Amino acid sequence: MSGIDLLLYNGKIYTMDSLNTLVNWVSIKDGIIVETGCGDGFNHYVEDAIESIDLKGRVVFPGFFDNHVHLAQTGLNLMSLDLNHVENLNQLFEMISFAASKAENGEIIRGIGFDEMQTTERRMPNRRELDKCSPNNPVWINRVEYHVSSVNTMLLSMLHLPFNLEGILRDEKGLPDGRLIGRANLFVRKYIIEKIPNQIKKEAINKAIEKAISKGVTTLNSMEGGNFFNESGMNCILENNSIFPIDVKLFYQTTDIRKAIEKGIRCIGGDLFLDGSFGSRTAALSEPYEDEILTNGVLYYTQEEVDDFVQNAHEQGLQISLHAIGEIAIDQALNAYEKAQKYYLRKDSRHRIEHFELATDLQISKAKELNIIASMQPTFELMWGGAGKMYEARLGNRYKRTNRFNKMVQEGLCIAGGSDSDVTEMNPILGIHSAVNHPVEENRVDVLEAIKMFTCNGAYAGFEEEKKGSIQMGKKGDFVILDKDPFNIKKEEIKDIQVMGTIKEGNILLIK
Amino acid sequence: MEKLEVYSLGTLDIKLNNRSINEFMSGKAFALLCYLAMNSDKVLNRDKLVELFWGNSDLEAAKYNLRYTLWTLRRLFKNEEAQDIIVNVKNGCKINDAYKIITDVNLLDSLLINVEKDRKYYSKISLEKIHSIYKGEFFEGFFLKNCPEFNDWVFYEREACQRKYFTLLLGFSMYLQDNNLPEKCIEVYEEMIRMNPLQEDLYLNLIKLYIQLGDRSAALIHYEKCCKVLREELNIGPMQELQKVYQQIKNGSQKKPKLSFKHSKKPDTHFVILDQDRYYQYMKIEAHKRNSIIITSIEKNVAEVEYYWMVELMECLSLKTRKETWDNIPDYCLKDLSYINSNLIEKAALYKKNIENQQLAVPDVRLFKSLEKWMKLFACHEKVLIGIENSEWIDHKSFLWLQYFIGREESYNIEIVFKESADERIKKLREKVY
Repeated sequence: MSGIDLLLYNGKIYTMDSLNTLVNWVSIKDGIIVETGCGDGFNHYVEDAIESIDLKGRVVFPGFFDNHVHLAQTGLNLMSLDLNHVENLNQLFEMISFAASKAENGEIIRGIGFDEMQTTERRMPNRRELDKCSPNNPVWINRVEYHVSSVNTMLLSMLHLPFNLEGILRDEKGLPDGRLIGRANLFVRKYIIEKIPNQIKKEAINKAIEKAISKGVTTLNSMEGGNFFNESGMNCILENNSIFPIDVKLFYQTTDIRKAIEKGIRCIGGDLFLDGSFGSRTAALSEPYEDEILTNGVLYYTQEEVDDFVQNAHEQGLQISLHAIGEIAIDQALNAYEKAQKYYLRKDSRHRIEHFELATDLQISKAKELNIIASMQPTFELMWGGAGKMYEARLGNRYKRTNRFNKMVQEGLCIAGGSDSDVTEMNPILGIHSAVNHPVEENRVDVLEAIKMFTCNGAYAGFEEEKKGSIQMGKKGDFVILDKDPFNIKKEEIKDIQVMGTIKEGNILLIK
Repeated sequence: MEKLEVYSLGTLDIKLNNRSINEFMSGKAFALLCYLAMNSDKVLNRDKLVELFWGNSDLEAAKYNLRYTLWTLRRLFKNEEAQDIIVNVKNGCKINDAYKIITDVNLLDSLLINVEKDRKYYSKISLEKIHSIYKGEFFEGFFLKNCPEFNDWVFYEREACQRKYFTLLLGFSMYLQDNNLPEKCIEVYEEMIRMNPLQEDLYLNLIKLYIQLGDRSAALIHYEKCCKVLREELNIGPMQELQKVYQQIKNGSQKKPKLSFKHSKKPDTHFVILDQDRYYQYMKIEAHKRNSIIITSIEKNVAEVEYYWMVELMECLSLKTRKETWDNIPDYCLKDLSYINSNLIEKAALYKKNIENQQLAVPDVRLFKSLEKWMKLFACHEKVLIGIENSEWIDHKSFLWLQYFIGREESYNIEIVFKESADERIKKLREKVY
């Protein structure tokens, strides 16, 4: 037997093949799995293997997938001033002063995650306050969900804001007071993101990728471009895609099919907002919100617009994904997919619906019938699910019907797991934990199904089931090494499992 | 006579007798000279200047700095062998009257004054001419650290100039259209859209112009461009009217669309009826000139509900009424009005007025007088524009009030604009008033 590149042995290797066979060793050459086996059948490889790792009983799974990430945004956040736990404005000002003292003159200070409702003053800062703590640097403070921001005078004077732009809040003299909402907020966002030099963007994306590797991710789907997430981050990923250490698959958030094809991107739509979110009461519900009975949310497109887009993209052979959270938006997506399929039959299109949070029985079975992938984020349940949390506040009793993983699994729907980073952290272990420990018991799934979401289902969702998603001969040598066995641990403790190693096509990216 | 030219729109430049002298000045000296020149008709108080340019420093140091900077300016002019630029007056200073001062901001102002005085003046100007004055933002890219007052002044002027520029363009576009110069008009629209690409109504007019010119493909291109901008920037689709026009183009409908604004004389009275397109144009232009705008739009299903429109008007009014006006509205007026709008009690309480709820029926005449009083007090402080959409669905009582209010002779600084509708009542009203 000729030499191999890498040998993993003495481990508990869950292959995630159709029987989830357990093996003890695996050998890899040229990035591809050569052989797997039990006991000491690996012995003949030991001498010839360029590198070998004694797993000492540790657990191995196929490399994880994170099927829904905003990579550029995640990276940028890692390089911004984190204001998540600020308790009052003075503390905010001190943090900005400190950041300003360390920044070069003129460098823009970007603050993220500020939640004024968690501060004593319960308001966003105005530009005069920000001027005091940062006289020589432009400052941009984002509210936690990015819908509102505050800028200092220096930044405001750079912006070229049109006077008749909606969303410029004003002081008693009628002058802009530094707080920007609505269109003005999108305006400043675009201005700043475009200002960030490419080198910095690249650095930011690399940091986000490092973070993914530290959590065992070897493939991720990045949703980029569009009115909120900006083109420039996506272009940066496109340019550098060949040098990233893990696989990054781009989803272009646009309805401009020609442009996607020109850029060579075969996945279109991404997180294309058919509706909004529960948090901001913009997800499109069939019944009004529990805590605001006058609204059912927002639909950003008409059915005709969605139909038109889906039909064209479908005909062009693209994989489509659409963001739909409330039942009405989900209906819109399903209808469009169904019509497109009738109009132009494609055997295996695997279009996706992102989030799919409030899907009904009927919608679940229809999605199955249309072979739709449900791209879901179990960690949302950990953050917002269950009694007394955000889902209940917004939806009342309907919180029992959010993220119904069990029902979907029973119906045979393919659920691809993700994090929606930066909404929740890129961390498949946490996602698996959340799916197993869903706060509503009947929606829970077992550990195996939860792991599938982040391994083989991810591969299937990306048409890569022949190459990835399980540990079998001829597939790519992508692995994650864990310190504990999720099948033999209390389910409440799954979240504490540590990633001890990440291997991509036989290359060791992380080992502890 | 010596000549000083100050250019602050777009590129910053100060010229003494046709020669640039910027390079010899610090940023602050430059800003100070601009400020003096823009206020050359006034004596400027030294304390005010200190506050404006050195507001964040210690007073003595600030005063010294002002003296020093004024001296550097004087010396510069002396070196240029020109007359003394600044004259000292008690506690203040001003630009020497021996100088002829030209500023681009003034040029913009006089252009606007000329066209407002006589619309025909537009025939003498061109987009190039307007651009030669408004080359860009006021003090573009200019920022003085630690000068909050000065920077605020810049913000104020910057927006004011943008507004003037926009008003000028809008008026110009209407003039060009009225005089059947669609090609030129298109250029003006493109410029307005460039300023703020999110103005759908401008796209609509632009598209209509292209159709008028018979250029279907250009109309389609602009439709797509508009849709794209709206989607990419705001994630919204085009408004219904735009979609309708699009359908027409797609279906190759031969009918030429009705143009947005036919010429209509600027009204002398405070009561106007305008067709739909013209109405929106008008509201847009007037929005820049007036400080209070109230738009009421009601739905069909309330046409039978008496006083409904009056209550709507009150709701808008109460949001915009200033504290001093609240103080002046007699309690009995608010009490009377609370009969039809109990919300008022809460609103008034915000301004420390305790009004009892009026339980008994109040005769119309008292309601009418009370609302009139409020409108009148409100209009003491503001130039008010009231836009009325869907007038056909105004309930009977409210329409009587409108008729009563318009019929009163004083016009109180208030202009009422109706969007044209099939309503017979406004037609009668018009006949009555004129």
